[in-house]
Amino acid sequence: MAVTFTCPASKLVFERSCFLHKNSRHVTNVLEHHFNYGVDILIPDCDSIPLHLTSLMVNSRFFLTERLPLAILIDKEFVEAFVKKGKLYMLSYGTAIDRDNCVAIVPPGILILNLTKDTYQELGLVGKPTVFQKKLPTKYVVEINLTEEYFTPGKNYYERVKWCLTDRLGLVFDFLVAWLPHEDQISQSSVPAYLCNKGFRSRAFKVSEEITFKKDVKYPVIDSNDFDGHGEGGNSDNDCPITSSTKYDEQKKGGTKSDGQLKSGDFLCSYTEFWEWLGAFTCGLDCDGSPDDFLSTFSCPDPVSISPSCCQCKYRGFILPGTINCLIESLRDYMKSSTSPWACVTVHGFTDSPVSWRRNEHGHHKGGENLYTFVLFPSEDYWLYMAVGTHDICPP
Amino acid sequence: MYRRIVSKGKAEYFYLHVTLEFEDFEDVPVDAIKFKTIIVDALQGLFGLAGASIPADILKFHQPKRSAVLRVPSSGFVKLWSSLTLLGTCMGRRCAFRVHQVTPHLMALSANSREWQL
Repeated sequence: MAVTFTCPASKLVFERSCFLHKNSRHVTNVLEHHFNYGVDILIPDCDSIPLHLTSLMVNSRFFLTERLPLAILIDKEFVEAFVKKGKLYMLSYGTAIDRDNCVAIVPPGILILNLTKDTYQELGLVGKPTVFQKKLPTKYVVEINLTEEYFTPGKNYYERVKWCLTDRLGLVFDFLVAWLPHEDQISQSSVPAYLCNKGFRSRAFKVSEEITFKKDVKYPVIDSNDFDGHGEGGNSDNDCPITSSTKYDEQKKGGTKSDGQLKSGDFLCSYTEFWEWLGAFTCGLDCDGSPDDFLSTFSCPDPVSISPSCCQCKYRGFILPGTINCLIESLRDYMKSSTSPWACVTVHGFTDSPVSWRRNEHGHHKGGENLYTFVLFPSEDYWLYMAVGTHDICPP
Repeated sequence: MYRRIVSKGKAEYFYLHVTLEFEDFEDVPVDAIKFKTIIVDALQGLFGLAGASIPADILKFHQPKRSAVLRVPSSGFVKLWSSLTLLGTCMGRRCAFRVHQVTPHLMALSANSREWQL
């Protein structure tokens, strides 16, 4: 009898919409994904990437503050000057979400402590057990809204939190810091300058950049309306929102190439095949396998087109969601005047971030992926993939 | 106009980023075909001929580092991972497979924030 083992579950959300639609959630989806580690851009049929696209990314800065006590973050002076006067993003650096304490601040001023069981019990602040371990949880989540009126010195709750973070446990972390002030004339480096005055060293970093051009690239042909490869237009005439939920097995059974009624020439690459190919190309994998190859049977899905020059950009750092929104807006403008059939922007979240989208808890089970990909078409339509691992709540 | 499809549960494939390390010998020559043979032997050693028939594709192989990106159907994922973990010797030398990243989304392998050093 064959033995089968259960493998980790995964979630993939696919959306097809239009940037011009009044209910399109593309801006919200980007802004609600707080902690972004990497951005990959792929544009076929592109000889040179516009300078304003690249400068947008490389000009964004972030800071690493070393050995910062948590008590500083709830200091009223700090909250009034930075948390309430802009969008503050802070994420503990060098901490693993599945075995360490992780801390983050997300707009509009929510301090999130993702703590191990031992730390949680020693600290004495009220939180909730992780949603991913129903029995015997090993992680606990404490959320503190720094901007609430009752969170002021002199009030019981504030004094309790301050006592827990100073006298009971002096928790100290290295933090990645990025701040977007509401007022343009204030410098983004005010936060590290303030912390430096308090005696905590900060170092400034730029987002790293790597641009490559690849020649004669085979890429799959896709149609924004025909996302399932059936050739039936993907309900393009229907203006009503349609949502559906499927298991991966069901998708496979209803596979696009098993329908004998359609001619082979009618098939296009489906969104799942394109997603796998895009991942393979971005990772620099060999896509020329054949069905009887000993090493690999993976190949570029049919039908294919050949691009004389394909532009690939990789950015790594602590990247603000607002910067990614500007990038997508710039790419939309670029697509209007370009001959490229599509362009892709993939954003990777931090593996060890305590949240993925909104304030949805994020964990690490075998993998800690939380990423999304926009496929932009010249017609202003877009495909959006949102992928998360087992210890994650389904993206919004 | 708008369409949303949520796919949950078991993915069709899993992807692994692995490295083969030897205890004492850093310069053991291993090419892609030898690498695949080691993996098939590991599967056969633990699960017999049924294990050896699991189609593990080598999507990318970096010969100097002996690292590879593997693709395996999700039904064989746990068997492959356990076979790699329990492999102790190959070519008469003590060795170990180090699994860096595991994911059902191939795109996730292009970035690993855990290996990011500032």
